Amino acid sequence: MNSSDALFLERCRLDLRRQPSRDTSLKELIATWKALFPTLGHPYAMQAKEKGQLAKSSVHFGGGSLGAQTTPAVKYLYALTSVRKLDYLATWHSSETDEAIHDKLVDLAGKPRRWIPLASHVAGPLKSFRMFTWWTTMDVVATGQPFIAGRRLGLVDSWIANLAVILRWEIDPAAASLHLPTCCDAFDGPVFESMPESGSSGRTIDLNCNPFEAGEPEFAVTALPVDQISVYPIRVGPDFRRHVPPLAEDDGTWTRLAEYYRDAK
Amino acid sequence: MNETRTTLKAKDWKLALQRAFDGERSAALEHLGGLDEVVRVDIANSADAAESTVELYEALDDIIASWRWRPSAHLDATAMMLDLIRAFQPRRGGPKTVNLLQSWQSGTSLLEVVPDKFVDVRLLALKVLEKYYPTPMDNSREWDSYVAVLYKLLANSEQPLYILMRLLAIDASDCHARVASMIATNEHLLPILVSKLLESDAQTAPDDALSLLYSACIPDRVTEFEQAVSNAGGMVKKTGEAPVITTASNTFPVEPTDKEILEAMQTASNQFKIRLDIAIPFTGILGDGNGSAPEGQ
Repeated sequence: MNSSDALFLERCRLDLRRQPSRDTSLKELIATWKALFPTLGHPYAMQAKEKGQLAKSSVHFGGGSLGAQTTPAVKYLYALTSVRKLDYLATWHSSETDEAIHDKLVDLAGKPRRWIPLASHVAGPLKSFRMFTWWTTMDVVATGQPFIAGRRLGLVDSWIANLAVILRWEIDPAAASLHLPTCCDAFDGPVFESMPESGSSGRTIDLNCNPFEAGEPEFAVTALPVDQISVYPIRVGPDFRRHVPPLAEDDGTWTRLAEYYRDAK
Repeated sequence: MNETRTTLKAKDWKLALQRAFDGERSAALEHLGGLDEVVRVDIANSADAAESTVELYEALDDIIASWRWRPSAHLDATAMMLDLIRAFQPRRGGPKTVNLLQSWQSGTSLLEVVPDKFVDVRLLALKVLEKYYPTPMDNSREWDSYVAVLYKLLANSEQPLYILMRLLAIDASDCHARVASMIATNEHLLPILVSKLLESDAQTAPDDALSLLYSACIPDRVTEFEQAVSNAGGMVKKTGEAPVITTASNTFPVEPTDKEILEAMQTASNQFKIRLDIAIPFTGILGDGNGSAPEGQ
């Protein structure tokens, strides 16, 4: 068994300890996934097409977050993504290259850089094929260190964009619903700590520490109107990254993560 | 766990890119959206970004030199390669992309990059070439090949909106005559092009592209143009000096885009105080080049 297979097993054990009410849905989801892709030892290597197939085949994967609805006592939620990924969640009006779009946003954001409205640059709403996107209460801009913040949100180094855009949504329960993320929501991602469903939010895993530690509150949010979202462009280049040892998508990281899941009560 | 950052050498890049083409970097691709951004991040994560970038170009030159596009090739690998070429513009990327488009047979080029989100890979290739050939180049075989491939695709009615707009931008002096000639030699082409332009859901309105086609139809094929619009569910209205195409959801003004045609029309209009619309035969105006009125005016 390789490290990713072992990680998947530990994740499932923790999922069922923390979210026992998801027992049936998680098992159904695993059965559907196994039937579709019998040769895969874990769901983390699924490509976009395969995820699309799974979303169409299982309501637990494609039917939106079924976690309990919640409303955090903060004004804003934030998300860290890339220019290209954002094109898949909404659609840029510009057909220029990602670099040109990012440069334009940086120019518009001025000096000192400020949040700018997203709606004039993309066609919305902001949504994914899974009917929700991931958001956190951590103000990534205010940290001043988007790379460290990205790791704190559970992203390994190669998942933190260079042409990054930080999104900010002023919470409006009338516009979208916020859900406590479930183990099914995060089925395809190796970095996710299921939280008890009696809680008020999910929680990321902070990958900056050794061993890994608890991170920031996170939520699964349904489709959002883009005119409620602001964007802050930032290049997360070498200057942000070189001061800390690398954290790769490799066996070492997955083994540490499996230990984190195993030790979690 | 590797505790130190490393500089990526050309052989490392070749291996990393091959793995991506083989579908082994799906998590990074999912988080970042495209292979070009994955590469930017790899550079940023390396010990020496400048050296890793130089090595990347060496690797790309080698990969592109041996890149042979086959119709059976997976569209997603082709799209990844085009993303890289568009973002980093390696030396041989332009001619190689021209070759790709020359050998590409008709048929779908739509790729589902994420569920329910499609990219047209052929259009992506055209946008790559726009980066390599932004303006005309004198005495350049590369440029001639690029323009030739645009006309070839147009003759196959591939990406007509993009190509007509591009031809207007880069080949304005010749494109009217060449498009008119293509329409004259292939009676099926005009209806297909008009239909595709009117169906277009692109954010760029097809006004200018339709106007180019309209110009290419003056004077002998205006009726065919109107018929093609009608067959596509639209209607040409001649309410003002320039006709307007209306469809169920849109209205597009069409005006001749050829400067000589426009000047001839304006001269005639000023001289004889006539109201022009496309029902007026322009043969006389254009025929002798003196601005004399057609018979009967």
